[in-house]
Amino acid sequence: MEGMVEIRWHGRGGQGVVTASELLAEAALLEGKFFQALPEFGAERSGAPIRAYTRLGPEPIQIHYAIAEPDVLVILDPTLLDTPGLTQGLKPEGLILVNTTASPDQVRSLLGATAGAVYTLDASAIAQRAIGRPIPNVPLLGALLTLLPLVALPSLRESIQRRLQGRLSPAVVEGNLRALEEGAQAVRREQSPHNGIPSFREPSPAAVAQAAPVWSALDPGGVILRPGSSIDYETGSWRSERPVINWDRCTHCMLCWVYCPDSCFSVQGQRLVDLDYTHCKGCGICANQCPPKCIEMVPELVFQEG
Amino acid sequence: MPLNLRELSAKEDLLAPGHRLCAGCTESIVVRQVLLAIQEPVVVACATGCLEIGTSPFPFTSWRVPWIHVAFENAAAVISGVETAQRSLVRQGKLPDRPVRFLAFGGDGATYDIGLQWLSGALERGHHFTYICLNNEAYMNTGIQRSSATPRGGWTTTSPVGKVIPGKREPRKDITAIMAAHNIPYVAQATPHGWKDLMTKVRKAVAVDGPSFINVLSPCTRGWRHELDEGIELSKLAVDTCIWPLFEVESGVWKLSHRPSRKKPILEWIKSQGRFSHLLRPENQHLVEELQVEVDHDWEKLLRRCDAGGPL
Amino acid sequence: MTQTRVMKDTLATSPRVVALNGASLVAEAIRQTDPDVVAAYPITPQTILMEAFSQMVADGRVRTELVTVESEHAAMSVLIGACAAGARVQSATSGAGLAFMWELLWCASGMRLPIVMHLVSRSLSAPLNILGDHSDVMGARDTGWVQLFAEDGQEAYDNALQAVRIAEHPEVLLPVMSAQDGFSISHSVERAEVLPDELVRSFIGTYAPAHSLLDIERPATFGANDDRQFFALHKRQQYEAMERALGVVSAVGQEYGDLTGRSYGLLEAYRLKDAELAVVLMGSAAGAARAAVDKLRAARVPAGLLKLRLYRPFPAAAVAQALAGKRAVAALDRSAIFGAQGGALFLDVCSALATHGAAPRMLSYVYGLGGRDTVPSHVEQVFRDLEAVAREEPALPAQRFLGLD
Ligand SMILES: Cc1ncc(C[n+]2csc(CCOP(=O)(O)OP(=O)(O)O)c2C)c(N)n1
Repeated sequence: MEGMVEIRWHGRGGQGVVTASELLAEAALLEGKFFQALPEFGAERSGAPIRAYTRLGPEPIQIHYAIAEPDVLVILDPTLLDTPGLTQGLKPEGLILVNTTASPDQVRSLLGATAGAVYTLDASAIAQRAIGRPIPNVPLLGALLTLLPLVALPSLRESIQRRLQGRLSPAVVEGNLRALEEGAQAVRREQSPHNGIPSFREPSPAAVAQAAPVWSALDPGGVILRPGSSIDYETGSWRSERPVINWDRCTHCMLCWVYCPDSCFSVQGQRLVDLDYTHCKGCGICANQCPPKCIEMVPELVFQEG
Repeated sequence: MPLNLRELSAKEDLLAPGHRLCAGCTESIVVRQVLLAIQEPVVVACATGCLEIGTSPFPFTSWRVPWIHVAFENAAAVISGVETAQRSLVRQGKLPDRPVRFLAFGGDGATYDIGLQWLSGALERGHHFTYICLNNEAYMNTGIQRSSATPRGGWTTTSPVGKVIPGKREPRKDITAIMAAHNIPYVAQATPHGWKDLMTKVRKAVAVDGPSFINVLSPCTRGWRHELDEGIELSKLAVDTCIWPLFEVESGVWKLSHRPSRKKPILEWIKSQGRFSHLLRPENQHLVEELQVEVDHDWEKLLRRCDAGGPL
Repeated sequence: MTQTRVMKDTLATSPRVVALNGASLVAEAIRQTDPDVVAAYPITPQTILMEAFSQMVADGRVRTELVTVESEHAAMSVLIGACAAGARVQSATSGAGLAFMWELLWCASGMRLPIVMHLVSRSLSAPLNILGDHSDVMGARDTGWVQLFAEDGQEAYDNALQAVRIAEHPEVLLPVMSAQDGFSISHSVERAEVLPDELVRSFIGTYAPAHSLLDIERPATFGANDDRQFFALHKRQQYEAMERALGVVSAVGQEYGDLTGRSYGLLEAYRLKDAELAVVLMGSAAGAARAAVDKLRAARVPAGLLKLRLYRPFPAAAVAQALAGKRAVAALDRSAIFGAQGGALFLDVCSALATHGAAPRMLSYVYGLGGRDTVPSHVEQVFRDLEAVAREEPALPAQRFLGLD
């Protein structure tokens, strides 16, 4: 498996994570290379962080497992940057490409001294201009191919055309091709350049070890004895916009409370007192339904940046 | 406890946050409202589907009430077993006699399609339970496939819009009337927007001596292709367009719960969701007209059933 | 009249000797174990069992809530719900009814619910056939249920009582399927001993599950979904419970013997110790096989019989030990599994012998499909075949069909 490259994609449902992994694979097909694109499935719904994997190589690929020690990480959603374990397993010589307005050095300071050379691209903005929706996958593919010649840009153009033609309007197909070119041009590098593609190796046992209690410690039959334990699972990172309450105008009518899908409004003595941002997924139903319109949805990046 | 939000807000939320339902999902809103309405202890059975998967990924559970999931089709049978166990154990003196309410939640797939036999059987046997259909008009858990609740003309991945077929061709099944035809004590339709109407109906449903059924329209951002914040708004529009009338059938008597002051045209409903966007093409205009005829016909039929020609 | 009957049942202190068919004996066992909830759906040949029990309910002879569901799938659904709610539950079915439950058999075992199901085994369509064979029970062999086979009505009755103890044993907590052969056992009236109600009651004790849906103060979540991290752990745990059932089945069989004089182990060897040729089978054909062994022994053929009582978990060590040193062994399966190298029982016996280092010559037979009778001369033919392979005569086809070759 000499010469094989392993890419791990991180994003959210709806951002084209799986599509990106597949477009690259299809471009490899056009070039007679070998490939594998593999989505990871879980109980998560749209908005939740998801992953996908792509392998590309000069020889047939026989392995079928999740990529634990990738050569490349592509982060489609900047709000994922503070997710614990995001860069886990990335090879020291690896590469990180992030969709963000921030510079590579800013991202580096966020990620700390984790492995890899950092590159950034404001892919959402490019997509917004090109196709009218901030779907970052295609511009990121353009950027990735300038950094690593995994396949030639024309092959990817063709895989995009094949996939989209007939399903989307010609304008949107054209827009995607423009977004691809623009992504290739606009990628920003870190001060210290990275040193090429590492060679493939099997994942270390530590990387694939699944932290889990021993089977004998579980209650028989998978019964869960801690009611409401999902409160320990934070869904706040799903959010790209945050509801902010103007308390001065709040009438405590409680409609936000009764319409919240995630039980995020806390009430004390018949008055709203708090909003649980560790679980709020940012759907905006509260803002939409608030009679005095005292809830505003503010982009999450505003908070991340300042 | 009166049905007033400030009073209700003192109650513990029996569905914990941290579940994995989509942002903007209305299923959890409905579940919260149902659990808030009920004043007695409840036991819940849940069919396979978004709600089940989203609220019980081991080792996490969002449920603060006893809860069981077994399979896709059999939630009604499972809860009828739980209810039977309670009756048996209480009668034998093995459990203290206290009022417990038994609930089953199922999506429209679980209710209209694969689970209809189990639901019908449990209703006929007369178990004391309330079945709540979270009707998002398609199989969402498996990625938006058509169900018999999907409206005519609706796009899903198995009723796609193609060169020759414009979405689902068949009209939806009137499951609420089928449930009413079981002659059970209580049947109703509701929406999460009408929280008070829904909670009132839930209280009536759990109080009757026998089975009851409530069909709750539950907009789905992914499947209906609408913005994340529009679920509640759309559940109101469904009522205003008479696509989803609010009514109840109490001991066989049909009653309209709400009459829209001005019945909005179906076109507003169609324009509000991406799953119908193809219907706005000129070549599909006749479908919109046909749908309007269908809605009008169903609405008139309902009014006749409710014998509510005059003001409510 | 009902009243006096109850009194009589309760007061009896020594076993009653009765003339009942297998189905009625199991109905009697259900009555004596007095489950909190029974849910069942009629299907031949189980129907007479369900009818008999329905009458007991109608006469007030049990405290059971009987749920007359609209299908077997619903029967199992009701039992899963009721069992998770802390009730002691039982059902009975046959053939297509068991097949219809298939999805839920996995749910019941995966959720570790001690449900007891009485099976009156029957073939599976098509062609439609309502008669006895083991297609149904063997089809469910990998579903995580403990499986017991009875040779006659007495064993079906005894197994039915022990099944409750095995299922509810805290080391096991698995559903148990207790099978008797359709018609040949279920419908044949034979002499049997029925225990006094009191004795049954004290033998099975009370059921006190650790968690229950009706424990309102301690809300538990049953039937959650597992990601790739946890699923394998739960299955690993389930494996272990199944292994532990081996010891529990033996211990319960022993205890039952101490009470009744009828002890049960995992298997029963007949003239096997000094045999060189052995037949392995389960169910009602064991009697015909014994007759064949006796006849051959009289003619100095070293024949012996191994009858399995427990099929799941497969008592591999005990089987290997019982068959150690035999020259040739035939396994007789009363069900057809297509495309495999021999019947299901055959494959299990082969693997038990291979993993324990024994290597007799092996033959696989399918017999008794769809109600065909098995008579001593059929089994004699098996021993003749075994003699031939033991003498290294030209190999017979791997799969043989009793009476049809
Ligand atoms: C017997 C069986 N068939 C199919 C499935 C796959 N499946 C699981 S959930 C589901 C659809 C659920 O749709 P619905 O009941 O409408 O609920 P929703 O997820 O939309 O809330 C399907 C098809 C299954 N679990 N079991």
